[in-house]
Amino acid sequence: MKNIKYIINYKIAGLLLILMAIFYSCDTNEGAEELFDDSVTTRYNDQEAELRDLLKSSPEGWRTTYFTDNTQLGGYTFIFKFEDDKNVKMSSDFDGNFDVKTSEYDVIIGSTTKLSFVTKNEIHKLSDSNNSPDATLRGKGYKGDFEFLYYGKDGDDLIFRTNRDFIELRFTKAVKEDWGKLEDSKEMRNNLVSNATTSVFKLLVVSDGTKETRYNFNYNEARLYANPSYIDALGNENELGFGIAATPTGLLVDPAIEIDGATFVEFTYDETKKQFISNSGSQTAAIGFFDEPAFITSDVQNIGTPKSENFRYFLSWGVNSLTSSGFNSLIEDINTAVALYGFEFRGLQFSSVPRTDGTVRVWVNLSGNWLSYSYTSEIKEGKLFLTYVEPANGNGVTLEDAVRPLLNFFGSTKGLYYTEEGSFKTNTNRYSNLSGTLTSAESPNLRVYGLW
Amino acid sequence: MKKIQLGFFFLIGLLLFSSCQREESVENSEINTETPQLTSLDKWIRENYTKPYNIEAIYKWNENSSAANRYLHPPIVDSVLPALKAVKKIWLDSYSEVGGADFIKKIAPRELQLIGGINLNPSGTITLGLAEGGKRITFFNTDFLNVKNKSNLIRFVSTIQHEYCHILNQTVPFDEAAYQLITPVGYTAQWFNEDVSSSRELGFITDYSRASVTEDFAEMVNIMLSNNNEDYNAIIDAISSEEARASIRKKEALIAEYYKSNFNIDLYELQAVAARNTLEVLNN
Repeated sequence: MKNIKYIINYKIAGLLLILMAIFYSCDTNEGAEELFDDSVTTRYNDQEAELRDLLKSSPEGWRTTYFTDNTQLGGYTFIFKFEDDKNVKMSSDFDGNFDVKTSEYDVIIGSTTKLSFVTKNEIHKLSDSNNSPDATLRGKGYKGDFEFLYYGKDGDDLIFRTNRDFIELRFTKAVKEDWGKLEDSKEMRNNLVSNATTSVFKLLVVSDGTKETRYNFNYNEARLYANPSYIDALGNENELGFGIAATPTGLLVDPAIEIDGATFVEFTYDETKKQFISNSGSQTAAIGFFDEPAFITSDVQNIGTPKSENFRYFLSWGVNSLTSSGFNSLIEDINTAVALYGFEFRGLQFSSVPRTDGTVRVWVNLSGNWLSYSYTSEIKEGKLFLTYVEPANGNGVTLEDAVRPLLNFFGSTKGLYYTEEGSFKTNTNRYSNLSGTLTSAESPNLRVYGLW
Repeated sequence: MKKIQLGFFFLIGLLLFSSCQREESVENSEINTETPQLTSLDKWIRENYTKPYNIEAIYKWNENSSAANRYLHPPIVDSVLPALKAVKKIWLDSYSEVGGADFIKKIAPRELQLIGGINLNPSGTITLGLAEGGKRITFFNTDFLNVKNKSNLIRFVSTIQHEYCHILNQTVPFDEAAYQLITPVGYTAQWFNEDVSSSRELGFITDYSRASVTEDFAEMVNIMLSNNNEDYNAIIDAISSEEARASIRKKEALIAEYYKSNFNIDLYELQAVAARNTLEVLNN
């Protein structure tokens, strides 16, 4: 009897097991919770179709400013007009070619839905191993990408991330005028480029009306990148770093400049001041050419000491970009003037140790002949003031008018800024002598680099 | 009792079976299976490379086909057709004519990839072409090809003449030991520090020949197929070292024998046909 009872119990247990199997076999929930209504494929297809439709939806195309690497390079603006599901028209402010060209694009599945510019057009110029801004980036071009992962919409804008470096790109609807303004952006970049008439002091100046912080801009024109620096009251050097993209009206910086709680991104060009201006709360940031340097060192006090007696500049020693193009053109003018006498400018010397009569000398070398001029000398306000007296030898008398621009440079009524620059080096020579620059405070486009 | 048990299990089996029945039926694929839109260029590639030779010619960018750390870009669409026509005429048609219509069908890279710009390495050297596992051959500089400029055209096509030789070598190896005995010294990993003329004086046809025995072999074939016989002989005759001239001729003989015995190709006939086809591309 006992055995039968056990048998019945086994049967009941077996029946329960089978019923449980039936129950679970009918459970349609196959383990994971369904998070989406549609399958992965459908969602991919939908996102692809959505992006294709969006790209084609803007009648004048999409505009984006692309900073390829904001730790070392600036940005360029591109406009894309997606004609159909295959062809795209494109133009940019990357170089001087503003022709609108057609190429092919595709929307495909990468690590997510991806816009890929599959045949060559303007955007690919950033990703040309053979076209880098300098030798350090050799083989890397401008580090650009032309495949953009779609991250959705933000208002009317489309948000992408570059496939290679995940840099965010924002496509904004373009208007018809944008296409013609690419040339203006390219031109705008020139307002940061030094030339013969611009001051050698290119600065970023941030002020709130009372306090002013002046940075040396330290701008790399080829990379469109600035590393502004300033030395604070404790003598510490503070450095910023940002890329620049020109716009038709000014420029954009990336990353944003953040100083004392203020954030600056967009600058507008002020034609009269020759500066780019941005406001944030009570603070104003200005980028451009200034008449005075970011800060004045005490280097000028060394002039006339044993290590700094005779400052020399000779063309035959080679070129250093610290000699400004303004000074180079001054030398060209002098060469034109002295050519009438059959001479050519070779170099100059400033002898800073006063003679018995208290005067100092500026010497000019024309074809091996020395012209001598006397000045009185004074160091004040952190500057060297030389006041012209008269020619100090016969050659000097004869050619005084021909070399007048150089005499005026030394005789700058606002004085000369002096900065030491370590040992002397040019494109062709390196000497252990101490080097330095003299800059006219009266005409700050004039700066000469020489050695002691 | 047994009957009841059997009936019971039958019923349960039926329940189990029917409980898993679903209403859904197989529908059309969710994947886009539409035929892609083909441009006239795509159709030309299909008719001239893909259908007859099972070779895909890729000109649109595919991130998986290039190293992620290289800054390269696809070609301008307009530069693709002239490049592919030149390659077909000078490389493919020449081998087909001399080796037989099926030669390339049997031994060929399966993909030709065109890259628009120059592949400049951070070291300063330029990579002219790449062959990956005998499967894909990559051409760089496609946008700079000028089929009316002989040296430019030859430089472009030499990528495949060189790389295809590697593919032949991978199919039938050559006697590397015997080949190496001809100029046992002179191979160097720093070949890029050498120049062509001094390399020739040592018995190497180019500077790159000095990279290894296999590169030497491929460079010999490349130079032979990039020049007509007269010009090729003039290159050898211009070498002042008699020993170097003899070395190159020995290499040439080994290569000619390799082509003849393994592929029944007369290398000198192939050279003549390639030279004729090069002229046709230049003149048409």
